[in-house]
Amino acid sequence: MMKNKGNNRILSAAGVVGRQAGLIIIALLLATLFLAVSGYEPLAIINGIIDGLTLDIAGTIRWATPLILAGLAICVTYKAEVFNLGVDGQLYMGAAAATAVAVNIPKSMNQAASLVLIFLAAMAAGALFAMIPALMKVYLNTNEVVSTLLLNFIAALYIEYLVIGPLRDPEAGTNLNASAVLNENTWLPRISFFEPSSANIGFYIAIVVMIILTFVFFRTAFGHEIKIVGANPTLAKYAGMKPKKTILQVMAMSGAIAGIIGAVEVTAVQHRLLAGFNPDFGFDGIVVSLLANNNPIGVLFSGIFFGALKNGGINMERITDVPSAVTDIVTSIIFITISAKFVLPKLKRKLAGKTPANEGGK
Amino acid sequence: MSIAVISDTLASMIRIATPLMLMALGGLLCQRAGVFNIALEGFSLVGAFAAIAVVQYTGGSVWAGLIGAMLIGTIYSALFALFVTKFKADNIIASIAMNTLGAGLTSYLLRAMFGVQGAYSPDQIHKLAMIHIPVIKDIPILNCISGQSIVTYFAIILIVVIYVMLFKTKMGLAICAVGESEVAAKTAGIRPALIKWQVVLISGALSGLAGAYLSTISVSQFSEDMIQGRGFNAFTALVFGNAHPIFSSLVTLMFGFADAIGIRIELVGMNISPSIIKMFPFLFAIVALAISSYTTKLKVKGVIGHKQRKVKE
Repeated sequence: MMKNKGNNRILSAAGVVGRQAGLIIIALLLATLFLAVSGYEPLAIINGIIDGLTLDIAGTIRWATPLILAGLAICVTYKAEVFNLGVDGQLYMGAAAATAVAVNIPKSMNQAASLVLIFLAAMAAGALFAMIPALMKVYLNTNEVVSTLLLNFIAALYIEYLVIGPLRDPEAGTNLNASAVLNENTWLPRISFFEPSSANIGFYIAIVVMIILTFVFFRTAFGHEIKIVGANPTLAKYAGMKPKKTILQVMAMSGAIAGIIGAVEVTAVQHRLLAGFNPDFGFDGIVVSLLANNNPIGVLFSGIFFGALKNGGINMERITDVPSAVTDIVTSIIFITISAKFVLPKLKRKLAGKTPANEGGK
Repeated sequence: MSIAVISDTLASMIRIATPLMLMALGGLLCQRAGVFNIALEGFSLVGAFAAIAVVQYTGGSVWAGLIGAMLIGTIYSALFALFVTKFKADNIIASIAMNTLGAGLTSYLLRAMFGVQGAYSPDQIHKLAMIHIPVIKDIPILNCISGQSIVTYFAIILIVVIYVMLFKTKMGLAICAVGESEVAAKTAGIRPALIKWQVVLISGALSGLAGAYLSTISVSQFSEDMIQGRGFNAFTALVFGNAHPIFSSLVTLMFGFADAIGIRIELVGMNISPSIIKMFPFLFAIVALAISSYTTKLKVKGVIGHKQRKVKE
């Protein structure tokens, strides 16, 4: 451990990238081994990713969009040492609000105006839903990890309720639980270059959000405050900051970004609210953010990597009979190996004179 | 409401609470030892799959399924233990990774082994007979305890076993010591890593059994979304129960009750959407979590509050 401490200082940005690449390679090798053992084409997953980054870049962009946004939603809170595992729930609420607004927009309304309305509603809904665990954390000292996990189920069931009940499309078949198809003036445009794929301008929105967050983190006092609150709430308090307020703010930001994912999925990809439209983007977002070392610019690249992985898995399942779930295994392996590395900075803090005794009295 | 309905509701409460109880009992040992284990969800999903796979390959033996699920649950949890102890992994991230890995693995193996997607029922399954306790089965209301499966009785016995182990034995003392302060435990000659390995493996075995209960006793099939947040509910139960075996088990019964009442409402035909009814246990869990964190905040030095600070530190 002492050895690691020394190494940690030397690790440059390039070193971090190299290390993450190493993790990816390990995960892919394990997955390849897995495929070989179960009698599938061993190179399927690697071919899938390569295709995703070359031939089928459109599909990769489609999947990268929600993953980048989810990664950004996670990295905002992670800087403040808050763990928002509720991105899934918040994006569900965003999707619900987006749909509720979209179905009430008249056909004659201008497309840009209706989209602005829809996205504002989705962001507000996501942020409000994130306020539940945030307020519980701030005022009741509730562990946000558990509360957000539980709220995810409530949100998913709420969507189920909406598409079976109030928002259900009367013309949908008995097997399809979905809202009616939205009017075209509420659709978020797709990128025409990538037609007929569902890659959409949500990708540009993700980049804009990334740029804003980068600016906030590295160029504003608020960004600095987030980091200090994350590193040491007591110090932050003495320095005149309000850690509670900061926690509420980052959770609201995170929820709003999650809400955007919901709105993008509804208005650009599905064009309706569909039960179970979300394949756990929120959890994937944690890996996206961790792989990028919680750096917004890095999130863009790791989001594209996971987008390629997801897209590759789906293509792979369509062409060969390799189950696309193998991509979830790759993601999880990256996830768990990255958690191991994660302790280094925390350990360092502990070694810097923090004893368990004053920990308890905090 | 007639007495028969009440005892029927209570019986279904116990049935629903059984897997939660098993998971909570394993989870609370981890909590006591300072391991933040929300991987119960993933452990039990793997157990549920393992049970059905073993049942299929043994020609329908549920007994083999239950034992196989415990074994495989233990093996699966060893991965978590390895990362938590050896690699000092962040407990929360490692837990979530175990959950997503469990979902990925079972979904993948479902395709690879049985060639199906979503759900699989074994060709044949010899269901276990429910056990009827003499005398008690004839007492109104109390007879809800009779006619349960062997796993339920095992869980009830386990509450006592874990209570005694935790509060009356050296092992229990060691577990709590590790949770309180690893450094102090070390100076007392306890090996924290060893203790953590033990509690995580126990929770893996019990969660595996919980999953097996769901797939081979509650129903006779495995489906990808079969755990449905029960692992998180069990975790909430142990937080609310202050990681105490008896209190935590009582909380799981309350969860079971919230669920059982929901099912009754559905049967009575009240006009509430089934999706809303399915929210009941989660709403209950959120309230329980809020209450317990509030009381912990008041006490400041509660068992759980201490752990939480430690993990998040």
